[in-house]
Amino acid sequence: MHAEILIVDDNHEAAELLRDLLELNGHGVRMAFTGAEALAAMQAQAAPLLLVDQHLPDMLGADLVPQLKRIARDRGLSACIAIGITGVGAAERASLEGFDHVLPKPMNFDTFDALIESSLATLRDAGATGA
Amino acid sequence: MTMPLHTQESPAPTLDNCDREPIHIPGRIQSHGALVAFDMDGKVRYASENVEELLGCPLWPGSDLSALPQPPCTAIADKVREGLQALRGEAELPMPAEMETKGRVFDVVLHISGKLLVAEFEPRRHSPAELAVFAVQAHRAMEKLRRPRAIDELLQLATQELQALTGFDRIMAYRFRHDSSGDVVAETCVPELDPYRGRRYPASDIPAQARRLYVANTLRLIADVGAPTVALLQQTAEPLDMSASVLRSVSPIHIEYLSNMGVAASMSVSIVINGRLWGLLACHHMQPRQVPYSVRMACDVIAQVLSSNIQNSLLAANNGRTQSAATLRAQLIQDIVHSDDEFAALCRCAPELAANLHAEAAVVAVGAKLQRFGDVSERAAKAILDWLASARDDIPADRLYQTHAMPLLEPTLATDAAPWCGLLALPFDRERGGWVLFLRREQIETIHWGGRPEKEVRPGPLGPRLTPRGSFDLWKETVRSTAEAWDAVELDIAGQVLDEMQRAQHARHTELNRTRNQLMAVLGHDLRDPLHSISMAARVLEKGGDADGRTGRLGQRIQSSSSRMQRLVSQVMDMSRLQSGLGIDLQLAATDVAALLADLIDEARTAHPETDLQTELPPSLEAEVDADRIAQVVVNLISNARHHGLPGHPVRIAAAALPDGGGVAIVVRNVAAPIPDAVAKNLFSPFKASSSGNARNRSGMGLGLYIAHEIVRGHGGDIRYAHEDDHVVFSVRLPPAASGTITRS
Repeated sequence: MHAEILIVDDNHEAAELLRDLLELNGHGVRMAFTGAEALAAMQAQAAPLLLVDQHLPDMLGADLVPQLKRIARDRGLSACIAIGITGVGAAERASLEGFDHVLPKPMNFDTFDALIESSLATLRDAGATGA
Repeated sequence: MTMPLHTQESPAPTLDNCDREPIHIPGRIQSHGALVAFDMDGKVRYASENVEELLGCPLWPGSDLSALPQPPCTAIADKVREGLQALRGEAELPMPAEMETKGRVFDVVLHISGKLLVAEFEPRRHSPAELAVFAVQAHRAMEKLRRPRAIDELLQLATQELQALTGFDRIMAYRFRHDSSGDVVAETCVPELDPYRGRRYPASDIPAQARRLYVANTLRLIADVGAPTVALLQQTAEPLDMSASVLRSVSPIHIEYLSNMGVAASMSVSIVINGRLWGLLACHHMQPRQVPYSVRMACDVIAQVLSSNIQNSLLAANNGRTQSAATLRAQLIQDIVHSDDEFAALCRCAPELAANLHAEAAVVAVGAKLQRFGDVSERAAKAILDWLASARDDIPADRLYQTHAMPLLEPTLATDAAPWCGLLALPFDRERGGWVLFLRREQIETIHWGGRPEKEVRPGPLGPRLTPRGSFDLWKETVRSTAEAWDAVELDIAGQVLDEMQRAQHARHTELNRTRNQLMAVLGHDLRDPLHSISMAARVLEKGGDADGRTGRLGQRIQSSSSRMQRLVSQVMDMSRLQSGLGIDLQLAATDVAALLADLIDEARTAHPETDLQTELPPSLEAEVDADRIAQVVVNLISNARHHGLPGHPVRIAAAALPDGGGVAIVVRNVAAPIPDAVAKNLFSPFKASSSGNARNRSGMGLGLYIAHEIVRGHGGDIRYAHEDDHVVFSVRLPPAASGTITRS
């Protein structure tokens, strides 16, 4: 399944490793290390699947996601899913708005895989991503 | 119509009841004087049988003062009238004065007893010139005894001066101890007599009622031990209270004691300090001797001068000890802070502190490390420490513990810790077995009796108990297995040392904890990212590996190890918080526990497909919990069940709402043998401080369950272990609603 995925995380190493993991499954992955970079990347080419860290150097992930989704809508994407990758406790995770899902750290990779697959399935059905 | 006269009949006291003998109402006087007691109307109520003989005046109970023939009664009547005015409250009681009648001079001493005026008449046997010499001598003695001196020196000087003044054969200075036993601290005696210095007398030698009387009436004289006493005549049945009488006859027991020693006359003066009988100046003479009234009064004043001086000395001595103890304490704390080695610092100051506390030995111990000071054996030290450590309920965990009768509290110590009976124990680090002990020997060990046969002693009818040797033997019995008690000053000094040590320790611990917490927090936080990266990289290896699968397996192994590291880092951070008293940081939120468990079990099945996990979950189960932490608890329980359960049998997880809004229950059970009692007892406990080389229990199960327990407790719930139907069952109960105090940040 190919798709455009945007990773937004100021931890370069973590972002690159995540990219490596996703590229193994053939996905196209871009990275942004700040909120500003993410917005620019989204403008250049809207990605339907977003993996966003909550604690970015220039803003909170929860504030960035609505902006990215707006750009996606403007660019004509039929759907956009944002997954939060962050380490806060369950109670805080439950209160993060704007994200469709929030994953805790340390990450359970099977859960992660499953979530990516189900999100891509949803996007496909909505026509937001190609074959 | 005259009422019949009679005398008081008192039952003879025995050794068994002498502490109840009513010595203040003997109904008799000594024969060297006469006593008459008048009521407010001038009528005689009591009169000694020898009144007419001694005074030449016919005074009997019932006689009226106004009806007395004159002479020879005029002088008496005048004195008595003055006294009656005082009795009626119209004037002050007249001072003792002299009176002349029938060609003799008398000392007349008046006092009020109840509603009566008591007049006592003592014939003077010395000329005014002789009395004047006594007065000068007494004055010189007072001056000498006023000057500040060490107490023992002072008492020795007092016995010398009193001997010079009164001429008694033997003058002793007694001091009373806390238990009211006495010892002869100083003595002046004629060379023919055996010295009694250093001897001990049990409390019963001077019964309680006598000691009380001696505080109120500070001087007693027995002019002739062998002389028969004179009865008081009275019409009423009620006895006269003679507490303040100077002619009062004394207990027959005391008379027998004195005559056993060959003593024919005795005088004693009380040394009263702060309203307590602190000591006595006791005078013995081998012939009858009547000390003139004025000289006795001078002795009384001398005793008061002595009291005052001793009191100042005691105060100064106590202050001195407290001062030097404070200096010692400050040095100790400085030493501890600088060297950061409590044990060594305590060892350096133990000898001086022991001296300050008048202890004969000391022990400093931390766990198995032991240092002894003084003559105490290793065996004794260990026995005492073991006893203290056996966590008795009556030994408080962080307070001073003291006793002067250790073998009486713990009979095995009579042999194991001999000859030590006095213990002052400072638990400066109860958990690690940190103690400082100060010790005192059994009292008897420290006292030596000359053992020479007393040539002047011959026991009378009541037997050898009434002799100095009898007294000493009884004293030995009463103090068997005891040491000198620790006094208030010593307890205060030790208490302050302990307080300061605990304060210093607390400060150090707080500092240490703060540092450690910061370190743990930073460590944990900083380790998380690298560990996460390792995990991810290993995942990449696993998924992207080459065809033969070796890289894939490598990736899996790395992930498994780094997962374990992540769990250990979490546990270490949790333990650090728990041990510093901060508690686990819980963030409660409304959670569907059933869904939480379902997800968690799905993950577990994926991770360990070989384990059969069976569930019994309701469609939904709401509770207010910290989801991540409850998940941690259940994951831990499932992991334990997987590790310790019989293979081939399922692990069952069930959850349900408890009836009547009782909260939520989660149960994990697996087929396994019961957990041994020794382990089961400490299932939910953390590390115990190691003592005497016991190996620490570091099994992963121990730590996980402790943290699980703390998490559940933090929610206000509980977690239990039970063995039912071949199953090991762990049950978690979470209360219906969180209590307000749980959320911490």
